[in-house]
Amino acid sequence: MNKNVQQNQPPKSRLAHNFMKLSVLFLVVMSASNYTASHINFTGVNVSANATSSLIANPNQPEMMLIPAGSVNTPEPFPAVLSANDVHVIKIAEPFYMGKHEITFSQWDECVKHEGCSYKPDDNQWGRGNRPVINISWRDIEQYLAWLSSSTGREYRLPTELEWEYAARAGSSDRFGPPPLFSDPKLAWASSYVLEPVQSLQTKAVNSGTPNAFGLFGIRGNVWEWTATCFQSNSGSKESCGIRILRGEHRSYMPNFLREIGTGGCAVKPLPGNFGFRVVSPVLPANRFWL
Amino acid sequence: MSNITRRKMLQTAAGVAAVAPAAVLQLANANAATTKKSRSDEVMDISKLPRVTQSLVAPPFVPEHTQIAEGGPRVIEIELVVHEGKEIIDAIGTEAHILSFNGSVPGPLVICHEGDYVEMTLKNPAENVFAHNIDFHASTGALGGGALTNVQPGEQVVLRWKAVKSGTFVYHCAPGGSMIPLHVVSGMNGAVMVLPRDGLKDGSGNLLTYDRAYYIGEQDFYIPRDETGAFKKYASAAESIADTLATMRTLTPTHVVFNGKVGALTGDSALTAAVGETVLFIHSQSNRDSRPHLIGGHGDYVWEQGSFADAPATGLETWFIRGGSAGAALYTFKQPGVYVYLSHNLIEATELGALSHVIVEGKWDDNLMAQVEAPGPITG
Repeated sequence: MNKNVQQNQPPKSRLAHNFMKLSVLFLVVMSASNYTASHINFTGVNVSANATSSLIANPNQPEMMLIPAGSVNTPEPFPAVLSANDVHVIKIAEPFYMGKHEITFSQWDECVKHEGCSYKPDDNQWGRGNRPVINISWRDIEQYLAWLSSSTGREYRLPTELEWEYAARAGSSDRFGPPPLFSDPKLAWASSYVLEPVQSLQTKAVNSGTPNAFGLFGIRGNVWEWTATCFQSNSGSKESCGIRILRGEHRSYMPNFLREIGTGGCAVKPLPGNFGFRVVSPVLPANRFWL
Repeated sequence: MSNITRRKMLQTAAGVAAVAPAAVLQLANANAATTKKSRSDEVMDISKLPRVTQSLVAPPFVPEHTQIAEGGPRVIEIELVVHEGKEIIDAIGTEAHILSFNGSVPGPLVICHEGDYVEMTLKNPAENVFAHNIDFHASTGALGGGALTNVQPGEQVVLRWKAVKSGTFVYHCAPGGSMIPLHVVSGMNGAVMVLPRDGLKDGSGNLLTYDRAYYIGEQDFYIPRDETGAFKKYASAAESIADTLATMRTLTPTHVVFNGKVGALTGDSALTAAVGETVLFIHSQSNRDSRPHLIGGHGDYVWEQGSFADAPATGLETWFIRGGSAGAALYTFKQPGVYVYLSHNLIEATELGALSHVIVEGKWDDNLMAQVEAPGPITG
């Protein structure tokens, strides 16, 4: 049985709610030609690579790409929760904007400079600047999102896991990564073992590589990205938001206070090497003045 | 010689290459003189023995061999070439100046049978800057051969020793003083397996055989850090010596890895086996203690201290490899999947790198294990 998984919006944080109350008047004029998604049919992998937007009007504003509404099939069950493994279609009802790149050290350091962020993460001696910010927890990101929203007058949040997967796929129903190591369902616990050499953990500039069909850089590489989605142990059971889902090469569950985790480990599934994130923002009606 | 004086001397490549402690040289000369007669006697007998060349291979693989000796003793010729170089030893780009036998860390496993002679040619290429030698724990006399094998860059030496004890043994470079641990923790170590002529036996004298064997060499590295805590990089091994010695003296390794680097035996390079296969794991640690453990399996028969003359322990969960020794464990895989072979100092395993994976093909046995109920909400 296939089920459609509807886009689920995370609860807005208290600070995110407050951004609307800001006294700073910030004018963004949306160009209808830039954000209207109706002409983009990506379910059939007919995706416009130019689905971009010109949201930038503030130096703190991350460069955003328009992610059109639609649906995409996944080649294997995409469990919105652990037990709902019969889901093969992801449906996104409303277009949204997503960061073209992961948030960088430069962007994070601006937040620290303006006292919006209390934590200045280490860069592992790899350099700051245009490299993705790493060594930050989900809780740290809450501060950044509140500061970014308040300083730009626009709502920013983390993507849900569904939004992330949908954006990462960019219309593709292909299977990502190597094939399962074992086909026996009883060996599912070992099937995602990756037959690849240990990769360097060192990050690259966020604009490295080739963007996907939605124009997103490094969505499956560089760093693992925190999502807004809480761990849920079973369909209908209570969420555990002390643990959030990280996405990258595969799904990973992490306590929201963790800033880093070692590689290797005795688990047969590789653990994320570096934690980072990118932001999403809602699409507002065209030509609308907003605060 | 005070430590300070020694360190100063070792800070230059020229000084390093010239290191050949007088006491060691004298000992070497003395050995050469006193063993001359007995050696000439033995040469006549040994010269009649068949000679074979053992093709050494990089670990975790082992050279081709028979588990039960065919015929009488032989002279097994091997060649070890010292490599000096720089390697990345983890996923964050940490550099280590590596000294090694035949370019691998650990050096290759040498296999013979009790009563065989191992005749080794040790070559120290001219482009190297250090003096080297080799101490075989399996051998008898002259500091394990260390006193007879000192070679400066551009030299080679040939040493023959008789395998009088069966078991697993380490070998390592031991050029004298602080250079001994420095060379060992820079990668210059390996192992020899001396099999009983009639093969491995359990405690009742029954033959034990294996379908494949892997050699896991555990290596502790001591990479100096700068004032910010970042690992330092050096243009040459000679420049790194003073800081490396200081880090070594903390007795706190920065890396503990299998086969030279973090993740060397994972992913594409994971060990492989199949259900029903018996695998011999040979594990060496030339400098520190280790606690091998196979997550998901056991040690069916374990020669923890390495001696094959002793009855193996059976059914172990974790075994102990003393620093400066090698041991062996035999296990027949009963379930497919991924196993983790690690040092069960779990901090060293997950934080410093001492782990490997074994991918085992085969059919799952519900009798041995079954997930009776998948994870779900707590109901009671």
